[in-house]
Amino acid sequence: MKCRKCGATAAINMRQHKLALCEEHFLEWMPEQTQRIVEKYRMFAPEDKILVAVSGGKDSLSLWDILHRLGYHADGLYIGLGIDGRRSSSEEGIGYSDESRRLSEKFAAERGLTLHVVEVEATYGATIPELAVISHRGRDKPCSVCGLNKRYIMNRAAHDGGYNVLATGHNLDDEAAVLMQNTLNWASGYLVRQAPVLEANRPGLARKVKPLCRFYEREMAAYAIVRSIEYIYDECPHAVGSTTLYYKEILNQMEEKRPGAKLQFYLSFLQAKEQGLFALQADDAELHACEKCGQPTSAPGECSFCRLWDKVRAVKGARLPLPALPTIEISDES
Amino acid sequence: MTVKLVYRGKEYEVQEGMTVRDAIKKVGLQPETILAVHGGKLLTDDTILKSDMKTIKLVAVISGGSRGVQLPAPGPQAQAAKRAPTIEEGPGVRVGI
Repeated sequence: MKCRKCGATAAINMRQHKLALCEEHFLEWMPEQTQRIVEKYRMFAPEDKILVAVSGGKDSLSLWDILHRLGYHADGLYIGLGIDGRRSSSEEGIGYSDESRRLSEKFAAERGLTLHVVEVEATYGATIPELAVISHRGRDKPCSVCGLNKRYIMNRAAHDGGYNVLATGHNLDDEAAVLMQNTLNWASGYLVRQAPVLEANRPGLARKVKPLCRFYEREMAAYAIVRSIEYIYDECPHAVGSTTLYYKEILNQMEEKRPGAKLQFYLSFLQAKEQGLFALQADDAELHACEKCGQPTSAPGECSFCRLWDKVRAVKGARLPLPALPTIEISDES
Repeated sequence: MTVKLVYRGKEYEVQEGMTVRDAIKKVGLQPETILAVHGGKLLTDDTILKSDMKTIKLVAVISGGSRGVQLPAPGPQAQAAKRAPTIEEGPGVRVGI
């Protein structure tokens, strides 16, 4: 197969676009398309200060790389979750979080970029797996408390650090899998809020954007390989067997038979939303400031994050530091 | 003659003359979720495997997605999803950043 632009041997064939490109032209095409997405959804402008949430994975590191190549002011935020990958106390861990942090720091150092690091255990007193066990939240998986902590810390770090926008590396497969899950559950509350941009329409909320939302996961992996970005190949050990991976597999079976099925599913959803499909589901809930940390929360009193950590402090007692008020300590590691 | 495919530490052998896409299917993987790499270079799905290629590395594009996934029974999460999410819950169920 030949590159459509130059006729050289193609490195990737994107069947959904009927487009094959060589390495050189693929590396040109990715930032060009990202810029188009940024402009189409009015994500940010050249003067904006962007915080990129990085996990050490292919998507977030590639996003940071692309934004850097496009000339944006983009700093990174790495959240250390303390996930080791052990399933029992006798088993040796894979050091998932340590390796993720190492790769994120290496990426930043090689490019002279600023990476902020927030270690959950050092800041709040327990790792995410410990937190899950103590709080009895999320059955046997820490994904629920992990998501809550990451969203809280990302929002707070962006807000406290003076960033205009928080960028995450969600790709089209991520978005389509969540969309499929929420559609099969008719989860209208979630559907109405799924978008390439979540506006900072309430005090204390950071503006969130997903510049990779129209790229297939395959393209993101190809980009990381061609750009020689060293990323953590394994997914979080707690994600194995997750429903998101199940829906991704189903969607890829559809894609196999009908190239472009995933893209059409997601784009049709966005178009339907634009045409008012969810107009009656307007998100007009009043937000309150958490009485402990000041972050926005849906109900008066303490936010979910503070309530969760209060519960953990009650169990672990003096081993935990006092609540971190009012700002998160962000260490500049670069 | 055969060509060796390496995927997550496991080795498979396929006949030369097959396309990359057919070889990926032959070893039971989804072509949409795999990239084939030879000598550090990506191969398109229609590339014909030749014996002088010796070893092709197969890279999973979905991290962790190759170990078999099962659909968990609908639980409290599905029920909770029917109401509007709280601000702390975010826009939906996510894995990773």
